Amino acid sequence: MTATRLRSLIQIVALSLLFTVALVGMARILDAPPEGAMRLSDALRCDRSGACDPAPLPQRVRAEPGETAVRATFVLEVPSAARAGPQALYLPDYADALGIRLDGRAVRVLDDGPPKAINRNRPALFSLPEGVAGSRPLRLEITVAALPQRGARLGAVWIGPQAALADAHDRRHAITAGLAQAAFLLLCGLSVAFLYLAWARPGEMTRWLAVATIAAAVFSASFAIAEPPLPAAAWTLISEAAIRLYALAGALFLLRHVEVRALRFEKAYSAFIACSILALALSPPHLFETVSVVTHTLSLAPTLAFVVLFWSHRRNMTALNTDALMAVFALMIATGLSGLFIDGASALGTAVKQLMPLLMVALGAWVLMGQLVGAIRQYEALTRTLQDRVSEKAAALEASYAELARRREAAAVAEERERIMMDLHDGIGGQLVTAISYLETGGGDHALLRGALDACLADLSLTVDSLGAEDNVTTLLAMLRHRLTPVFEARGVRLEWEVSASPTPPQSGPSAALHILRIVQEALTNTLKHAQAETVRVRIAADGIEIADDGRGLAAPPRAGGVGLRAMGRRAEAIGARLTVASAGPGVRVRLDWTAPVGSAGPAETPTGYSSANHD
Amino acid sequence: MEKAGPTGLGREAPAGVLVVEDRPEAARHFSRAVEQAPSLRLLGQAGTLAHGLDLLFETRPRIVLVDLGLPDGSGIELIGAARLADWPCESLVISVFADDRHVLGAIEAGASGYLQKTARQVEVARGIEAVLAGGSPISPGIARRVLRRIARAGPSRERVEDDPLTQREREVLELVSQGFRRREIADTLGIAAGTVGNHVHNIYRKLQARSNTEAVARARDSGLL
Repeated sequence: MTATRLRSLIQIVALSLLFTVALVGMARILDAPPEGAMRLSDALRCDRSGACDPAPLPQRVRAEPGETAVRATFVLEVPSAARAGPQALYLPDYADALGIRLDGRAVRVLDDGPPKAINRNRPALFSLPEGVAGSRPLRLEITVAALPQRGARLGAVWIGPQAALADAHDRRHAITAGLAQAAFLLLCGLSVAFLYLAWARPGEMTRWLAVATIAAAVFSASFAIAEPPLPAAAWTLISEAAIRLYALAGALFLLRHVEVRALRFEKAYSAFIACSILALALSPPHLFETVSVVTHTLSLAPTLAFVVLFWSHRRNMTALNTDALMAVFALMIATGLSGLFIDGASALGTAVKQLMPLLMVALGAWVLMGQLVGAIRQYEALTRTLQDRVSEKAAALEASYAELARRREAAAVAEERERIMMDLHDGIGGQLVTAISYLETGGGDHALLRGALDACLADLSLTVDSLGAEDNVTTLLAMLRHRLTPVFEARGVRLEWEVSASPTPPQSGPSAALHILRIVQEALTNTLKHAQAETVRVRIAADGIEIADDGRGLAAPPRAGGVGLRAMGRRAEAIGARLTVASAGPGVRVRLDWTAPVGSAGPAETPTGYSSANHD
Repeated sequence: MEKAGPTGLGREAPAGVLVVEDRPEAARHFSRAVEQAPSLRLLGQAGTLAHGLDLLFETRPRIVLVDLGLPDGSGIELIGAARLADWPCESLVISVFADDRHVLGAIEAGASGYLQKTARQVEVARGIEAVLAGGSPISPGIARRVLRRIARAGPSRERVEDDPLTQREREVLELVSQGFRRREIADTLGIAAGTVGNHVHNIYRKLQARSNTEAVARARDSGLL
């Protein structure tokens, strides 16, 4: 035996003793004698032949073998006393039927044969005829009849003022029979509830709890119902079987609750219970009570084994106060122990015995409730954890988004830097080299130098424009026209302008916009340099841009192999567009076009369809 | 190509011009352009903001040409002073590239337009004369920027007077931003070329008013007022 089990055992024994003392004390108080009444205990038990032996009350009468009913007659002498007012006889405890004669006059008549009713907890009160009890002694004859299974019983007999005895009777009736009925009704309700639970949430725990509750209800029926619906012998057996089944089911329920599967113990306990019931069923009626007491006493061993088993696993209980559970166990044991010290007829003893099943079922309900509370707490904890996880993940996600955005921004900056460098290299760099060569070889031709530097500045302006115009291609081309207008004017070339929609190239963004800008710029510059045209017409549409002049057309061999055209071709390729350079009537037509993405033509921002062709 | 020079100007006294520019060659370039235009008269030339402010109140010019990057401060300050002067005084910002970022800031501060540093002398004179006639230069980039700025501020503004541009002014800006020239716009809209310039001038004035109210609102928000 481990230290834990030993400690559990010591705890439960100590608590049990404490409760036993408390119960015995309470019973003494509750069973206090009614005021002004006289207790009659010195009885003579007389047989049919008339022979009498002294038999102090309370008395139990066991059945003889072969008897169908136990019957015993007690004779008491009611001493003479000064008695004022209505008098009564009060019998707190007897079994099962009564016949009373006072001085030969029948107060209550007892039928022959076995009694129909079973009395386990009902006191009896008889009002005495006026003037019967008085100054002379009376002869009181009480006959008790009972089934052979339980035997007959007669507790103390009280005689005294009716009012005081009626009070005592009512109090006892409430504690015993009244409470038994209440407990029975409550257990019936709980049975329905737990049956439903077992149906709704099938499982070993709910199943055993339902079985235990129904068994408890059946057991408590024997206390609550005075006249059984079945033959009395069968009723008694069912009651005895029910309390044992209840103990087994309750134990299994609690073991499952602490997640214990002690197969050996369970088998042994079940076999013991089955044997007990079988023994009760087979025992001759006059031995029934003896067998019952013996098996009950023997069941103390498995009960103790269960308690130790359960107690050592109580940590498996979720959110349940184990001290309270221990107290309930101790109370159970104390009830048994206190029976040794309390008169079997004690009101408290009867009440506790009756209420024990209800208490145990309430314990079961409480255990389930504890489990439910535990489940709810677990759920809440889980929810909290989940929320923490979610916010953690959200934070991580946010961080990675930020990191992603940072990288994207860094990539964009790098790309933009690359673009500007390329642009400066191809544009200004080349222009400045040209200007320097003019300076060195041009022999001081200021006009030439000025032209080269102007071109250089115009180019730089375009770079600056492309930085500011974001990716609006139309505006960028508009800036180009704005910059080039003085040059065209100086050459006397008319620049016609037509915008039907904002261009939507397959590749968008500053780089694509700059590529388009440079292509158009190159085309216009070529026209100025080579075409000798009067008019250049630029058409801007969603799916392309066309630059057409009315000059002398392409030289043969075509200049398509030139450096400028090759660069234009590369730029067109970079943005996923086609570049075609062809002679068109008089002059050259440069066409940059692409397949416009669906639904992207003509953004609302830009009113379309303007043209300068017919005006300038 | 802009033939916006007002015909009556020659009969009046030449308009006084102040040049504030810290690079001597550029200053000389603009001064010579002014001196050679019969309708203009050079009143002074300054290389610093302080000197420029002194000359502004001393000579009371009709037009100030201002470079933004002066050694002792920003030309924006001079533009503001010119706007608040108690005589009619317009300012033009001098810019190398006439890039819209620089120019738009100056216009919001009160400038009536801009001049490119590389403009030939005849172009400089013509630009100044156009401003005197009530017109203002504008580039597609500036027009696009103004449109975008108004579109951005538009939905959040609820009062009618906060969306200052008329339909016609919006049309003008739209066409400018698409690359159309002043005469083309006038023909498209069926108005005179000078009217286009006046529209632009009005747009600039409204931008100033707008930037003023915004500045006041900002000042109030930050507890300065």
